[in-house]
Amino acid sequence: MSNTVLICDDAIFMRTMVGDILQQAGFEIVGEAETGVQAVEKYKQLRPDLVTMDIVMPDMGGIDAVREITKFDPNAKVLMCSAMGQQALVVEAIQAGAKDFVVKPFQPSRVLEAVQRVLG
Amino acid sequence: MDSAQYAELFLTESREHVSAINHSLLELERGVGGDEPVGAIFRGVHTIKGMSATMGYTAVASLSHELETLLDVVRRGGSTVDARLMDLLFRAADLLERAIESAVSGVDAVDVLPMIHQLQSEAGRDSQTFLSMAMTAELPVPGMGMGMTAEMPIPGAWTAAVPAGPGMLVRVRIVEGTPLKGVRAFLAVEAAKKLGEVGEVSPPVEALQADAFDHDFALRLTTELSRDDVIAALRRAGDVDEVSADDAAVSAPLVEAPAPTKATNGSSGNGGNGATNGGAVRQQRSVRIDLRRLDNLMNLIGELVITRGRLVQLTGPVDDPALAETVAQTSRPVWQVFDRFPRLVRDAARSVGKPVEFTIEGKEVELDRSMLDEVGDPIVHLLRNAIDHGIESPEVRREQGKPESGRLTLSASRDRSAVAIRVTDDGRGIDREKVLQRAREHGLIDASKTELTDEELFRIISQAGFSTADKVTDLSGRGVGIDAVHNRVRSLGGSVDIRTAPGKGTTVTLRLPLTLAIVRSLLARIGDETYAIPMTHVSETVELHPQIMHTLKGREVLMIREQVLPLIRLRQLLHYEGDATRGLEQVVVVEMAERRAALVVDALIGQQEVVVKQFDGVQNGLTLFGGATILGDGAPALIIDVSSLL
Amino acid sequence: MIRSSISIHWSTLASSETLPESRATARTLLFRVAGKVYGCDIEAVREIIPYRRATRLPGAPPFVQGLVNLRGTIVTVLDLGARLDPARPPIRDGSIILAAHGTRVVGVAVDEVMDVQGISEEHVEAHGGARDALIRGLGHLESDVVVLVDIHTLVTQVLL
Repeated sequence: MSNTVLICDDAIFMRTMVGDILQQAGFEIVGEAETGVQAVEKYKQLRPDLVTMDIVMPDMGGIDAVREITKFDPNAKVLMCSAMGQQALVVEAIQAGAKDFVVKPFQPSRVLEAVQRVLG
Repeated sequence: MDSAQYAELFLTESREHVSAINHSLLELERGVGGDEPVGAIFRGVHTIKGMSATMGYTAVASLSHELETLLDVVRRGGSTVDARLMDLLFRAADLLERAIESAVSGVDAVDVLPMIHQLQSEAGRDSQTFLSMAMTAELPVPGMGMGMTAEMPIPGAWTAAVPAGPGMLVRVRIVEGTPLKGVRAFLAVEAAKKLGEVGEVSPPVEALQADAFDHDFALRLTTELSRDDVIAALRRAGDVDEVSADDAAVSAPLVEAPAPTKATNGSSGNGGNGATNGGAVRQQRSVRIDLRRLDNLMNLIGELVITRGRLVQLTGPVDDPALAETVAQTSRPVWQVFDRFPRLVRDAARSVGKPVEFTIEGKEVELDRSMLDEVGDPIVHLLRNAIDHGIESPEVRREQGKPESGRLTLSASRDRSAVAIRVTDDGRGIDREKVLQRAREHGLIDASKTELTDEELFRIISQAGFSTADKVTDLSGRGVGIDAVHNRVRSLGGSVDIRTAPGKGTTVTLRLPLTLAIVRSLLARIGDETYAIPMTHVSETVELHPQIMHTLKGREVLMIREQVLPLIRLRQLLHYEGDATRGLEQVVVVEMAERRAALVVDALIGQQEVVVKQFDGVQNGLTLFGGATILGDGAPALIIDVSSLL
Repeated sequence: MIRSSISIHWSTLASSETLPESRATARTLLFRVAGKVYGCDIEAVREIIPYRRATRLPGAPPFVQGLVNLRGTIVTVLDLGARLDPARPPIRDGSIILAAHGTRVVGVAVDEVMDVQGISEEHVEAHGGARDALIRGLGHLESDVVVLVDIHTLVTQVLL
């Protein structure tokens, strides 16, 4: 059975791209979220094997969303999607419970490696 | 999905962000909303940066990176928001927009460097540009992987100082060129913490996080695990080039090695079991739909509606919520177009030196997506007209006791199944005298006329090329006036209405059907042909009994419940000869805004959803039709444009 | 697609002497209206369909027959007979030539579609002083003279 993924990013473009990369690698995209609030809600609802999480999102940022998700499920596997120049934020996200990170621009191989690391 | 589709997605989404950025810039300039505008601009720019970097649009990426950096400074209060800064931000947003369009069109012709330098000096830094950072990031990184392949250790000395204290000396080298290598190092330290107790780290963790190290670091680890286990575990932190661990503490591993929680690829034989344990509830799954596919679907639905018309006599009425839902899917809130107007109004008002207070109402009202695309230009035109000709100069306004700032309102509202878009200004109003004079000069009206009703006024100013502007400005173009707006709106199946009062202002109302494609209509017969009357405008139908008919000032009228309605005999209006052959004629009472009329038809056929199609009108023909549709028997039927009757 | 099926009757031109290669030869669709032969440039012709009754377009000039449904697209049909001679009764049989003008398609009702022939420019007698701008000139065939009509003019004269 393929692993299920919840993609959280406020840009459709990014969701599409990450979604395509993962889908081609055999993952099942079970949900998408545009805000941190949605991300938390959908996580509780869908219980995906993996979450990809943008850092900057409206409503609730990605870091707070990670915190909420980890509070709900300490074993949640969250992969942060960050941009250049966000060191401090990524560190904060990891402290909040994120397992790994990828940096935009995304290269499919790097995304998949990070995903494999997160899923163990 | 191929790269062209990504580009399209990128463009659509970036445009939305640019529009939102402009909106927030205006708020920032007005000083409303506290910190929120800067935050919103920051998020928009940040998203564009991420997307453009992914697309390889370097100019866009580096420009948005610098803009983001400056915004971060502003956000932290490191720069005061003054006119100069606002000007820079507006210019940067404009350039960003152009860079986006240019990048997508394939000609990366926009020079962003001067702006980048300006943004950098404003942000008080001129160090590394994103350009170089992005390039580093895109370098192919050698030796990636999770220790599954045999890697050749890159010869290189360990540079990190030996940390003091007890425990295993562990050294880790991060792959050169790893993006955010500091965070990667931090992850490795975190991984080490799971293996035992981490003592001193060199350089210290704070330095690692800030990228202030030279690819390798060292730490002391007190652990029960073997050297090999430690090495393997740290490699799993990712982007680790090399790990070394000394044998200081070799003891029997007592801690169970963490078992992989999941096989990375489906091993044969277990597939059957796995398929049954998908316990997670999956509801409300959202689906991305390509707009072209949606259009296609709409066309197919159009065909279905026609086919349904053919079947309806046999099967009776069908309830179709699914159909309604699909139609609703093609609707979009008007803010998607309206959001770019505040910026446009600001610029236009500035260029003519008139302060204008602009308000938008009803942003959430939805309109058919294809119509929304079409209606933008007419609205721009009306807004410019209002700023250019409607609103007076501050001096004139002061003399007339009006506030110096002109008021301009754009509103959207919905009644029944039509959307009304209004542009209202509190300016001088349309000068009836001048219109009358011009109309006489052009021979558009009877020279003896001395007064104009709103309807006549509208009819005249919607004639091609009619303009009362004393001088041509660059804002509203030459001679292209309300006629262009009128034509466009008509072609969308809508209507235009103008109310103007001298000295008080002008309101132009565009009334548009909710969706272009499908309109519920009353089918009526006249002669041997069928006409469709959109139900939007039908308020009731009655039989034409002689006792409800009266004559008022020589015109036929109908009395229904104390109300007097002008009678319009479609048979005469549509040039049919003779009278209806049998039975009582039927009356369709139509209404639009506050106006009502009684249309007389031969007979009523029934209600039906019809697909609106446009056709080429003929010169000097009647302008009573808002399109045509295809009936169940395949014959076209004309759709009566009620607004043109009233 | 249409072009490949056209046989150009060079033989009809054989009698004419010099025929410089450079002179344009217009492939012309020949059709009959009220017993007379007319022709129009086939470049504009998209399709020919059997006559069908049109939905009347009230208020339009008498030579506008109305609207027909062409596979879901609504096409305005003009009556060439009535256009050329207002006294003529409307065409109720025959063919409708669907001609493209820019992005628009207009139908032209004629009594009968006959043939496609190539007519070289020099066999065209420009109708300089024609009363009707619709008539481009006269085309000389071996044994016949055809009146050449300009579909584009027809469309621009009639449609909005």
